[in-house]
Amino acid sequence: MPFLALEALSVDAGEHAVVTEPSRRGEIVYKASENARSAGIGPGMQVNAALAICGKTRVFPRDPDAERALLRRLHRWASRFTPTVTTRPPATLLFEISASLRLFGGAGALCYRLRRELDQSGHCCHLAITPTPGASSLLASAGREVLIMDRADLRASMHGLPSRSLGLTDETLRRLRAAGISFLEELWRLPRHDLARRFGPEVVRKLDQILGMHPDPRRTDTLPARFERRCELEAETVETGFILHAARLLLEQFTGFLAAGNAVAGDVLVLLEHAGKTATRIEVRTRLPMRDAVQWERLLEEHLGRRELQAPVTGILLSGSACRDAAPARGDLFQSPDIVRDWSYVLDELEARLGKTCLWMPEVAADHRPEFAWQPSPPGPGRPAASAYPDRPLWLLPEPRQLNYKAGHVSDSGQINIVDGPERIESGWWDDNEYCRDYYIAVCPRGRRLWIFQDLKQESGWYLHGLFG
Amino acid sequence: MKAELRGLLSKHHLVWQGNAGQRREGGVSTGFAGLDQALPTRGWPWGALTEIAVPYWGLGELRLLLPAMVDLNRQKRQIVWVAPPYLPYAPALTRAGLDLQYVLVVDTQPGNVSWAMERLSSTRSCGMVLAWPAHLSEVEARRLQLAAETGGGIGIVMRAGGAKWRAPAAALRLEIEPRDEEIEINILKSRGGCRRPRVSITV
Repeated sequence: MPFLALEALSVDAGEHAVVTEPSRRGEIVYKASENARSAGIGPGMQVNAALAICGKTRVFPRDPDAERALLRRLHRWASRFTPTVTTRPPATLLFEISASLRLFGGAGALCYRLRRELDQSGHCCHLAITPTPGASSLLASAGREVLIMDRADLRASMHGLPSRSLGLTDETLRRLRAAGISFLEELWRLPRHDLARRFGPEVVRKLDQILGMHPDPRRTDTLPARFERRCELEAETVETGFILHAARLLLEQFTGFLAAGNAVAGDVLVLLEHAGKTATRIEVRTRLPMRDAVQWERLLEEHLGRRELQAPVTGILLSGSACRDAAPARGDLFQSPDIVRDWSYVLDELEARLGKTCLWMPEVAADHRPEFAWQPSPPGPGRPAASAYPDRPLWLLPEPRQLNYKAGHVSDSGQINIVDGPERIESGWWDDNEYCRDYYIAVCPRGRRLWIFQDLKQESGWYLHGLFG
Repeated sequence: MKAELRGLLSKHHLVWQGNAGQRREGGVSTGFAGLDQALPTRGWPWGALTEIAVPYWGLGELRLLLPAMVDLNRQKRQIVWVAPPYLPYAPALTRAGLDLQYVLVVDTQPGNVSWAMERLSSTRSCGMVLAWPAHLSEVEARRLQLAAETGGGIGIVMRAGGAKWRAPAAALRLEIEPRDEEIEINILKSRGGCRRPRVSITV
């Protein structure tokens, strides 16, 4: 990126501008814009000299932080082409693209796309594609645009590059200069062992790395995994609509953040800030990790609808973590992945509106006591159950209801006929719910089949416990 | 009309035919031959709302639905119970052959029953959504019918004797009455015609 220092300061490409940095000789030009360069201003020049050449030159001090931030932004953008990106300050990005070539239709097509997207976002670049990272960064920094797929062509492409671009120590450079060597091809012309003996093994290693004869490992930069962004509301409000509108923008930024890293997220934390009060905390969780701003907004809306806001909201802080290697929703013979996804969306929405405990799967439990022979479990893959159960009612009353039962007659239902029973259930000595009951199936005159029991510990303790539905 | 021509027309649905008795949507068998024969869809209609009215809960309305539930459950489609009046008892459901992994219960306040059912019915994962609303407006019933059409499952609203509401938009409306050992089903409305208005079955 030849003009990264200028682009980081948002200097217009057509402008007469220089970026300066301090040195022992005072402020000197670090980078000059295209126009300034054609006027004769070059790096290393005193600022005064530059101004003398062209009086209308605008001078900006260099901002390393802005440059780093721009590199990070470019890194994020580049992650859509390859996961292996290395930033090399001050102004180089290295992509490992061999694995991405097929997807993007070859090096030429990828090159075209990279350049077009950079152009559109107003960045100037030199692209060099070679088999080694060393050669690529060397050639790109020198402004040579090449596309080399074969290592044999590397040497020729670097003809005329100065030897100082190798990144050697000053001492080595001085010795090279003393020997009259200033270009790479001159180094290659010398015998290897001679080179190592005279200028140190470092020089040989660097040369070998460029040509791919020596490994050149590079550290891959990782994108930050956490997103956190604040947005201040223009006016404090309790209106859900306004809050949602602001949250929507943040959620869209969050999905953009995730998309850049090809990541998904399983939960989003939204803090609604109030003036002088602790923030309201809303956690939006989803069962499948995703990056779907619309769905998150829908869930957030349900959460907001359930929550009574204590005070007007002044700002929103949205944060979330990216999880990279989430398996996509998996389907099977009966359920395609998008049906699985739809189902998890619906469950998330129901949970957001009704509360977590409102959704449950009935599950059987190993106990003889009817109240303990089942349990609610959160929705999800459950345990397979054995099906060897005695005849049980489809409806269970939450609490057994006492019956006024006397000699086959119940006061509110009339005469009932016991058709099955008794089945004695006596269990639970290990906890406080020990009981001893005789269960019967009875038919009442209105056609219902009832599941009633007599509590043997009580006098005339008859209860209705279930209906056969 | 020649058989080939008729086949061609029904295959492409190019011509709307007035004899609505031959609707193309099918149904899932109720498991009771008598009832299947009475219904134009030969079972609980797909992608439609069904209203079942009983004088009081526990009459056999669940046993009436169980065979279809088991059938849908085998296809790994969800059976969802929205706001049931009592606890669906897991051992009995297992005994009846349901895989509880695909059974979901939604407890909710009366105000949210229709919303929850609508949201659930409109997904393709649900085989059957049963709801016990305390109240249902005509608009809500219409929305439930549309949601069922979207999702393609079977929507069922249960109404107990005392309730004031009706679901006129439902494709099928039944009334159940106990009669000795059997239950008698009155078919109040059946989209696409009804072969027999009254069926008695043993559940």
